[in-house]
Amino acid sequence: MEYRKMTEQEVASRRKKNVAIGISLFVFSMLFMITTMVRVSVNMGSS
Amino acid sequence: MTDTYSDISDLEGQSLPRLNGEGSVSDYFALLKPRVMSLVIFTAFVGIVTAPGHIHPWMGAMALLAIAIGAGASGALNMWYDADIDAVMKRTAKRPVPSGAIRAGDALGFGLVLAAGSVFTLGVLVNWFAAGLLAFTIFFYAVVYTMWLKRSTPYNIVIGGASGAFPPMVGWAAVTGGVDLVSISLFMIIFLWTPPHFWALCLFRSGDYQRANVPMLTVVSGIAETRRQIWFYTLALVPFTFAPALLGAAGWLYTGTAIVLNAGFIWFAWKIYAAKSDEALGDAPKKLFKFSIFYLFILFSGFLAEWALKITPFTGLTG
Repeated sequence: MEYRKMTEQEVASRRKKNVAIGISLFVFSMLFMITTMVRVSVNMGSS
Repeated sequence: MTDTYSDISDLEGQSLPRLNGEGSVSDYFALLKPRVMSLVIFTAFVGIVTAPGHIHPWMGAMALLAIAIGAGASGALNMWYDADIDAVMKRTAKRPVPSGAIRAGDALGFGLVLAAGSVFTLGVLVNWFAAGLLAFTIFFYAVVYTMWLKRSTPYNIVIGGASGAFPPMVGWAAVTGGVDLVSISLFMIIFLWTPPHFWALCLFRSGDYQRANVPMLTVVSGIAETRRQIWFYTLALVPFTFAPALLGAAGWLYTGTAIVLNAGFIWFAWKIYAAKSDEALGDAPKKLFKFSIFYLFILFSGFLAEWALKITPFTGLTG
């Protein structure tokens, strides 16, 4: 089965998107981690 | 790279290139309707900050982020569904889906992932009542307004405008875990502000909607009726702007700001309503449209400033 070869522009565009998705996932997981730490500290402070 | 392009439409003699659907990061960002999102972020921020009770600043920031992403998801779903009409409207023809920069299916997937992610994030990190309200907001905009009302009734924007009015309520709910009269009053202000704001735009973009076969009020009932409706909705909006003060949530600064802004809004709406003929409107609709954006921003800023300056609110009718 033959596939259409992606142009250089398409490859570059896809690479940039992959990087953006990777960064977004990293930031998302960091936000959850920081939020957990904030919640733990708030709960410890109130108990 | 011209071999990856083909023409999709001829808009007023201007040929638009169809891109390869691969889409760049900035194309995906454009799917979020950043300009609409900025207003959502601001009004939600006002809701979060001015709500009674306490929220940890970090949690408040997370709530705001989730609301902003939820608004972006609504925009992406709207652009996915409306690609056919966006393609024939001058104002929207260059959006990522009709221009071919992003495939419709990709826009749908992007919107759904962001919608689910934003609701989940708000629910897990803040509270599930606010998350439910955010989910309803996205549903209302994407399904009730975009898929149903927009193409079926000239009052699409009246009912559909509710989706743009929910963000301060969602922000408020993120702090209080519920809804009360003050948050409803913030909702009502944006809800009643939307029709004159949007119909002012329609008055100078009517041809766009006619071409796209969208039954906007200007297309179905004509310019004269739209002018009347702008005036009536302006008169309905004005009393509601004083509701926060009557409910004991705002004081002299907000009320003074509201009086001045309402005078301006009434003036610009009157210029449209009282014009001798449709042809004599001139740039009055553009002026109202621009002023309406300024109006909402400053009105909510006034509410925010009162909180920041710790100005004592009026006693209010509810004691």
